[in-house]
Amino acid sequence: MNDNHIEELIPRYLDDELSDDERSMVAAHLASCAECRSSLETFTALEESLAELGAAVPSWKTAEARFTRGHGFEKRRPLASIVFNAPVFLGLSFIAFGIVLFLRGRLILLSLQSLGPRLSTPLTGFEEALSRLFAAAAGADVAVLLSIYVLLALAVLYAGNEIVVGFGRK
Amino acid sequence: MSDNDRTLVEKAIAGDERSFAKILEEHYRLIYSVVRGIAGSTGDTEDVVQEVFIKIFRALPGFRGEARLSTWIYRVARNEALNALEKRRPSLVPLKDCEELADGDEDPAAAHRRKVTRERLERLMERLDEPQRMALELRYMGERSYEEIADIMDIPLGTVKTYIYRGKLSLKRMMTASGAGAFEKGGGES
Repeated sequence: MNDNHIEELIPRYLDDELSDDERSMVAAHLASCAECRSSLETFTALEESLAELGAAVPSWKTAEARFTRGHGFEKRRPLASIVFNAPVFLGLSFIAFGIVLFLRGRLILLSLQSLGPRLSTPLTGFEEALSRLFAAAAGADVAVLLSIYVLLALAVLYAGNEIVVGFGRK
Repeated sequence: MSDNDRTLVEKAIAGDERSFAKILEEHYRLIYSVVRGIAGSTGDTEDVVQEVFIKIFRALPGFRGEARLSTWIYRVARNEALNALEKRRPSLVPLKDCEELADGDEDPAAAHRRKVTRERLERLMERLDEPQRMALELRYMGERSYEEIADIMDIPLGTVKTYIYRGKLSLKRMMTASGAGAFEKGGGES
């Protein structure tokens, strides 16, 4: 290439890094030199190709998913998989039932003691009232049981979300 | 190191996987471009990127914050990529077809031309000196500014500009020598 050509200035011309004087000189040269105009086209094509390099990078989501699958941290588990699987459900129900039994045990015990000796005979008004009260209490227990279950489920969900398994291990 | 980076690092070391994932996400393009710069277009870039993730996780407790987080990650990625390249050189295989090229409604033929052009460019880039290639990869694949590249590579800003300028000049001359047809607008076949 002839020393008079301005090929080496073209990258800076395209990056707008030349002084005003240099820029004017390059523009004037380009107007009169087919060889340098060809260089400008090649540099422009190179810039376009370089700009395409970013598209070669797979998305972060792809890389993250692969890392999570292959080596990484366990993803947060969805609510349903934590709360509504059989062992957890049974365990929670058992605990909730135990709590209800503990809270209501005294009342149930008293009711059985009062009804026990006379189960084969008609109930007195007092006993009928007591049994109605017990039925109402049992109804309330269902609500309490469900509330306790929901609270326990939320606690397990929170704890499950904080559990990190296999983080960083192969 | 910025306060934000320091907080993320401290949380990640303490076992907060979200902070660790955030660090990786913020530096993902940097890591990918460094690995690509070392391994080249024929390397198993994505496998090495995964190894860099693990290396960062294991080495993070040793990071003292003396350098910028991005500079430290650059060094980890570069070393890991060099190690991986050394170990795997005999088994390097051509880069598999990039399914990410199927860009929604883009014309498949145009997408193919772009892919071919890009792969040719990457093969030419492999012939550049490493600092020039790395600076170009960080600039265009990593989408980092000149100033960020200077911080990451721990070199003066002027040196970054020189690397990129010299790299482009060398690439253009290689393109001209090999027939520039593949790099003309539209990336036609040569």
